[in-house]
Amino acid sequence: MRNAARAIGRRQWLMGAGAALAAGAALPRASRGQGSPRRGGTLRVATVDKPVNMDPGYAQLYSSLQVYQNVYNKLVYVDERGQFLPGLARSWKAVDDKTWVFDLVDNAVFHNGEPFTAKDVVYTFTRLLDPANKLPMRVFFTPVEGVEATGPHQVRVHLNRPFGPLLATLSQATEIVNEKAVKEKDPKLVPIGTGPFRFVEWVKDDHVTLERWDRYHRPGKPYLDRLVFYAPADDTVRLTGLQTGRFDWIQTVPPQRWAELERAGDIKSSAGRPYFPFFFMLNASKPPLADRRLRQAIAWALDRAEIVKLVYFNTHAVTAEPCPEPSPWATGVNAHKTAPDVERAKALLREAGVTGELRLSYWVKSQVPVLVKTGEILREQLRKVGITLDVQPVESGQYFEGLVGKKFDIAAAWWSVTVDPDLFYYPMQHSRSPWNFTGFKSDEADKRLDAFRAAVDPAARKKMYPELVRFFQEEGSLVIFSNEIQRYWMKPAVQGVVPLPSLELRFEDVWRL
Amino acid sequence: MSYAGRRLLLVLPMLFGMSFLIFALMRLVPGDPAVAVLGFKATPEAVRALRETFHLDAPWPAQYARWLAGALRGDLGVDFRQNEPIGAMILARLPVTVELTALATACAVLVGVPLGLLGGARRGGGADRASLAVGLVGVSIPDFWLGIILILLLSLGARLLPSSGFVPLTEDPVANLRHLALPALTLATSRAAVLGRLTRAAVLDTVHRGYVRCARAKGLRERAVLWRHVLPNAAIPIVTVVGLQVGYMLGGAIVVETIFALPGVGRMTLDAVLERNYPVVQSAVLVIGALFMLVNLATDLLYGVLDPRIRLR
Amino acid sequence: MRRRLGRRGGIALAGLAVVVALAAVALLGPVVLPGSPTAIASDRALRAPTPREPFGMDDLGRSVLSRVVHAYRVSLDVALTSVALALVAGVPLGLVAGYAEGLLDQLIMRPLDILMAFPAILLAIALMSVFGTGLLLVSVSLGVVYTPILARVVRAAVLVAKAEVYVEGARALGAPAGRLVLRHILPNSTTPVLVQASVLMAIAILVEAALSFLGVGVQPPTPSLGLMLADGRGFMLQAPWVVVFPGLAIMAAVLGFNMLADGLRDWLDPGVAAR
Repeated sequence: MRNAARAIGRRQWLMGAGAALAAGAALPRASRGQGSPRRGGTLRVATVDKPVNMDPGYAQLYSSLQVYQNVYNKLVYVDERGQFLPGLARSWKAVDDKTWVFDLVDNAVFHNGEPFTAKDVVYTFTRLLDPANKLPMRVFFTPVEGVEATGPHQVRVHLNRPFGPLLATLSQATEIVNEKAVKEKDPKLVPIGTGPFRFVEWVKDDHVTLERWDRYHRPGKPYLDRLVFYAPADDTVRLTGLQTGRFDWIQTVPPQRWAELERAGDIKSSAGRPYFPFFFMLNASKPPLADRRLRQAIAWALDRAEIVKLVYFNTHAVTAEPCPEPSPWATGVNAHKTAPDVERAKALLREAGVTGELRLSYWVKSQVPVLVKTGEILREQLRKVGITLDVQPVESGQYFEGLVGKKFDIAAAWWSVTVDPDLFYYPMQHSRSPWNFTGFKSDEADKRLDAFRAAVDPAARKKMYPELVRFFQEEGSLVIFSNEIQRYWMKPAVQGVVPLPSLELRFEDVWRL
Repeated sequence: MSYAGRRLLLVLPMLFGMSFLIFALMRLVPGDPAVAVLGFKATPEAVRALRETFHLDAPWPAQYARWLAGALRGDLGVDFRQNEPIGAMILARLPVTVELTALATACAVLVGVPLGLLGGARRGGGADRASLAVGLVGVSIPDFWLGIILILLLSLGARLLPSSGFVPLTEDPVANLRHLALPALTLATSRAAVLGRLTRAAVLDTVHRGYVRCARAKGLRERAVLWRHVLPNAAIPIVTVVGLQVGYMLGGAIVVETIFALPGVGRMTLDAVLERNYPVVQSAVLVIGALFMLVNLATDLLYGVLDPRIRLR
Repeated sequence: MRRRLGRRGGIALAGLAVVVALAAVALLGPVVLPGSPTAIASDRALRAPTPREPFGMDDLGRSVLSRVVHAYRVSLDVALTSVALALVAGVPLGLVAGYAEGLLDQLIMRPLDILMAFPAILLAIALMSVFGTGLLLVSVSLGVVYTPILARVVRAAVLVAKAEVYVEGARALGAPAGRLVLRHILPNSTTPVLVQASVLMAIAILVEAALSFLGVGVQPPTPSLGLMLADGRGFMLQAPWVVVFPGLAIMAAVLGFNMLADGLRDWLDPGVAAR
């Protein structure tokens, strides 16, 4: 049993990666799967949490996004290869460093009957950027100065500084809303968009029902008649629901069940793609980890593969960068390729002047058992180089206090923004970012991050990226150790589901046999 | 003032005391609840906005008074995390907890009391020794372990009953009972053991009283003695303990709710305490406390029915 | 007042024997056993029980037997500490309330009643979210939860003892209050207090395990029987030993204390000897 578990793990990850590569190189979305899409049917979906707020200006809880992303449309979308696709914007170009022009589709209609025009895009951004509205998503759009309509179906976006990741940000946020709809119905409760499905009802704590929007601007889509979202209490209930037919599609299953479920004949799974980097945050704002050599010692002492195997049952990709294969941003750069290297780690500790025992605290939320376990394994790994790790599980209130107050030495976390690595590195490592919990300050780092963000030409950004990755592996305060593979599980009749870097559930492409 | 009236009057100060205690405890918790609730999104402006919305900067007594005023009106406020009305949240979960408690209590009483009666009546026999042993083991089994083992054997192993989840009674009674079967069984086991031991002790206590010996001397059959003389007297301690058990299960079956993924009040309260979701904790504790006291009141009133001597006090 | 060691006394002794045995396991086991409760070995994860490792290995390759033995120490520690704290706080309170009666009695008992109106687990969780988790704080929280129970028991015993004729007589003769308490009231209270203390220790083991199970008790890496159950749930089907043995261990400890309590109650209670 023990060796079999290891073999299956590797095999299944390779399977996931292979399938991902194959799918990535494949045909247009619509014809994936058996035969051509069939119209009709209801899909019962079970997500992890229940939605709380349908207003895209809040993006409150991923579970809300999962629902309303099917009711609204964005200007731009991203596919599994990281390419940007037209949404409500047919095409776009950067006129100069600080100005972009978007040509919009002319056949989209809101669910309240209003035709979609440039005015709606202007309204969406004005609403988002107005500080009086206090919309949390505003903070992601600070480079946007304003949006103006230059025609009934054309807008011009003015930036106050060059912003390379603009398309990436647009593909993750800014669903387009309609002014009349927002004024008539509370957008937190009733979402009205141009999307493939129309909001029908929300029975709080139980389900949300959506129905096909017959005037969707993409002809032929969506295929499904109805979409119902459930949010059962836990993993087991979701899985049992799938097995008994109560649900047709579920979001996650416990990692230790993957192997068994792959063999099950009545359940199929999508390709698995890594979109959730898991990493250690090393507090660089105070000793001892303010000393770069000690941070490097930890990086050299780390055995990623062991953690991924024991804690995550090989359902994570072992990686040292935020966007591993098959992301177009994957570089393969790993400054600590031969880790674990105990001698090297010990040498660094000696160099930094550590004599005797070094005690560090590992700060983790007690309600996330996998991260607690990760800490226990890390403790054993660090013991080999002479570091004593105090694993301190605390409840979530205290955890965030400690994070914000920078009271920890090492903390474990994950991050879910991976369409563009800028949206990972900038918040975590830029000295002026409110999410820089490690207090990492380096002029060199700021310079590189600003340059990476300001470069508008995608080729130029791709060119500077590997150096950026290496820089942060060698100087920075984060140690990325794995990336959670996103994989969805469903009845064999469900077709067309694929995990996306934006983590959207795009049900407009899904059909049932 | 009648006995019932007096007891009812006591409830209000108790509720007040409970709610104040919890309020004070929650405010003593170190750290800023706004940061705890917002998590990664805790930018300074978001924190300020949340604190403002929930009047967290007002002095304690003012905050408590505001909450109390709302509670008396029937408005339990909205929760920190998701802006949901708390009254609705509690109402949605209460039926689960109440139904589970009712089922478990019914099983416990129906199994425990007769066993205790038999054991007490046939003292010293093989059946008595066996039931004593079973009773001892029954009170020693941890609830949550029993639940896990039952899941292992009956759900995952034999696939007889579902291991988790809940279906409302109104939607599908059969599925509802199937989902509650294992949790109710888990809770009922140790309660039944407690009741069994208690009944047996109470029976032994009364069996040697004068009136029983007199009834036996009169030639009354054993069963009649049991029903007409022993049981009514043993009823009082039994009713007391059943009342306590119900009260405990209403708020304390958190672990069983966790294991069987039942959307009950206990689990909601635990999560709220951990998330520093104060409004939810306040209201949940108030509701549970009120129910508990109602149950106690009912048992006290039942005493009055069972034993006229008490009524006259 | 001779007390015969009847059949009931046998149960008390048996219970005591179990408790002592478990205490021995908890104290000596970590010294005697070779396996480490914290050493992680990925190649031994979830290995079934063998003669060398009769309880099998958990998901991180740690010896379940070793962890159970270490965890026992934690459980017994919590049980003893919490009950000791409750005795120190509850007995005096109960004595004063029972002896003084009247306003003082109400002043003491009403707040304690409010504490008792909470389900114990909920109160413990609330207390621990204020004071933090961890071994000592779990004990303190449980001590606070148990104080009212012990105070109540002592108070009831005091009330009963006061009503005893000979106490009335002694008081009428002018004996000072302190002497009354020490010579007459206290000895008669010891039985119910001892019995209740045993029961509370049994419950403490259960509650500590429940709290750790929920993640609000003792925290890893300190081993705890409740934690082991919580972790093991995920692998129940593949490796049932990870949940079966810790649970049996909890049950054994609780059983021991309950037997002790039962035996004490029946042995020391004069009424029973007559039956």
